[in-house]
Parts: sequence; structure tokens; C-alpha cells
Amino acid sequence: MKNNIINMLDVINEEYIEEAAKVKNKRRKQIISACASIAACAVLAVGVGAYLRSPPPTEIPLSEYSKDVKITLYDGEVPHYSSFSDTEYLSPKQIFAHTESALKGTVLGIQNIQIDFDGILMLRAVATVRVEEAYLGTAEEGDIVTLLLPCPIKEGYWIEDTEVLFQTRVGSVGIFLLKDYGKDDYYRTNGCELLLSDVADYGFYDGHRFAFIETENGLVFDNVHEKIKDAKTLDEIEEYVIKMLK
Amino acid sequence: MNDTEILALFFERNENAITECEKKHGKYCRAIARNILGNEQDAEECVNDVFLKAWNAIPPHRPEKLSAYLGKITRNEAIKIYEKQNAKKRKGDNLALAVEELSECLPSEDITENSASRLDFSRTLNDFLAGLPKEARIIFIKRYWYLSSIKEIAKDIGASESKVKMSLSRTREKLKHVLQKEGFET
Repeated sequence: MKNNIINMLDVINEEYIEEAAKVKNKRRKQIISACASIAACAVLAVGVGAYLRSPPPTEIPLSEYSKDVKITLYDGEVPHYSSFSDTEYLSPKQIFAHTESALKGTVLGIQNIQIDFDGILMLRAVATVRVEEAYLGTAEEGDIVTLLLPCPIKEGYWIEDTEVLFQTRVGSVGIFLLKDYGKDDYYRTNGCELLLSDVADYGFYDGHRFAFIETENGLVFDNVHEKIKDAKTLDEIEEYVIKMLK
Repeated sequence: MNDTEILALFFERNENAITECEKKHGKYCRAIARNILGNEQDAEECVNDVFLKAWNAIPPHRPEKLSAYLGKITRNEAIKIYEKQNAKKRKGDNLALAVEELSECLPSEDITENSASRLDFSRTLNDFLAGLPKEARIIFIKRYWYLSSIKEIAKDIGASESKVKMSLSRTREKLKHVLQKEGFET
């Protein structure tokens, strides 16, 4: 074995080291695309097979890194649920310090899912988003990314601690402050492990302070962002976000 | 907290620098250490040493890219620990396999001790990497700098393992050719 062969590569430029570090878990996008296709097929199947008995819930394939977790597409009622978002007090400065990626995007699709941690059930939604502007992180304009919402999306429901994100709808445009889901990001409960990147590219620290969404009723965002409390347009929000990220 | 603010804490000799470093770059450093050492406990200990080393080096040193700087320290520390733990080569671990793969294309003399050769090698290698297609470069760096497994790389770039192996094999071949042309004996 030649001496110091690995140490020789210590001379590699730092920009290439950073470039490689930024590429992780690309396959998760394919998994979610598969999920979207399955969802489309499931909808079609319901339309065509009106007389058939309800098919078993469609299961989303997960990687080998997730253990004892089952995820199925969910179109049923939305009962009470438990959230795995954190709701400790955060100042705007802390909110932006927790932000790993920030982007403006259009919601192209939303799919509710049920996550089964060996008997403990959680409802969430996955939003597929086209990136219109990227302010922080590796996403680029035109990318299609997926976001795990900390709540299911259902018309007419108001869900505690997700006051902003539960108003997400297909066609909504929003600015999202995100957590990147990498290969070390797991949610663990009841002895089960879910590799979060199996579900989506990004997630949220909580459901109200990390998003600004344009809805039919106007702009919605949490009032912790006091400096922009009178903002009426996403452009004003954008200006604030860029300033806070600096 | 961004890297400039973290560096400012180092320069103020404020110990929060270590906490903030851990918060922002801990996961990244642990992943590098885990690739090399293969277990969580050793990786954790290695990363604790990394932050201490950074504390001792900054100041006077002011790294341009804090993450890559910490990554380099982590890689070096983890390799040292690995070498202590493994007098004999273990089959199947990332570092041993990477050495085996690279042994045919890198210079046979130990250029790390000779600063002139090291400079030439550095220039040649970085020019070579600059000329590679982006994906091939990322695969190469992930395999031989981060010492990631083929399986992890395939997962990261969203390709098959055979595509990753093929890319590595072609890049090694090209690198060997370039180094020979530049006068390095491989």
C-alpha cells in the first residue's frame, strides 16, 4: 500500500470540497415523483372503478434507512393529530438562524399522507413546489422540490400551531424558510425511525413562523415578524427575508 | 449564526464559538468522521477534538470557508484515529477500499513531504478537477475526499451504483494519464 495516498488529496481546492458536500440525497426527489405518480393513478382508479371495493391504501416506498415505518397516501378525514414541530419562543433573528434554505415557490401539488410508526399514526402533507427564487441553500430557480408540511391540508380545518402552513393550497405562492433534510435527519418514535429525506427534500421547524403565503384572503404570516406586520405583498416580504438572511 | 459571526466569536476568544460551530457544522463533520471511522462513538470523539483544534488555530488562522476548513481537520483527525486503530488493513471499509482504488493512479513517491512536488501535484490535480464534468468531479471528491461508500454516493447523486463505479473508473484512468504526462511516476 502506498504511503499517505489519502493525505495527498488534502490539496484539493476548498470550493470543490464544498461543491460535493452540497449534493446529497437527490434520489428522494424521484421517490416523491413516484409518490405523485402513484397518487395520480390512485385518483384515476377511484374514478374508473367506482363499483370496486375501496383499494388498500397506497404505500409509499421508503429507503432501507427508514425502519418499521409505513407511509400511505391519505384522503380521509383529519382528526386530532400530534405535531413534531417545535413551538418554543423564537425571535425573528433566531428564526432566520434556524433557516437552512429559503425560497419563493409556487405550490404545484399537495398530498396528505399517513405515517404509521408501528401503531402511532401521524397525518402530514407533502407539497410539491416549483422554485421561483432561491435566497439560501442549494435549490435553484426552476427546480421542483418537495416540502413536508407539519399538518395535513384539508379545507375548513384550523389546526393549532400550523396557522400559516395549513392555509397552503395548490397554486399558492409563498416564501418558505426551510430545514434541509439530509442523510442524518431522522424522526424517531416508538422504536421506529423515519429518514425524513425519504418523504421530502425539506421540512419546517414549525407550521407558522417559517412561511409567508399568499392566499385568496391575502398574505398570511406570523406576527412575530413585527417589522413587516403591515406588509401586503410578497415583494415586501422578500425584501425583509433577504435582509434578515444577510 | 453565519460563519463570519462564528469566526468573530473565535477571534474574541468567546467559547460560544465552539457551541455555534457544533450547531452549524457538527453534522457535516460527524458525517465525514463516520465515513472514515465507521462508528458513531469514534466519530463523536473525533469531532470534539476537531472543534478544540479549530479553537487553538483560530486565531491567528482565519479560514476563508469555515465548513471546508473544519472538514479538512475532521478528515485528518479521523484518518489519524483510523491508522492508530487499524495497523492491519480491514477489507470492506471505505478508507482501505479508496486507497486500493487510488493506488494505481496517484504518484508512487510520497509527495506530501516535498513542498515543490506537493505544489506541482496540487496544481495538476486541481486543474484536472476543474476540467472534469461537474458530476464526475463531485463523485470523485465524495469517494476520495469524503471517503463515502459507493452506495451513499449513488444515493446522494440519484444514480445507480454501477454508474458511480463507472464514473470513478474513468476519472481514475484520466487522472493517471494526466499525472504521467506531467512527469509523476504512478
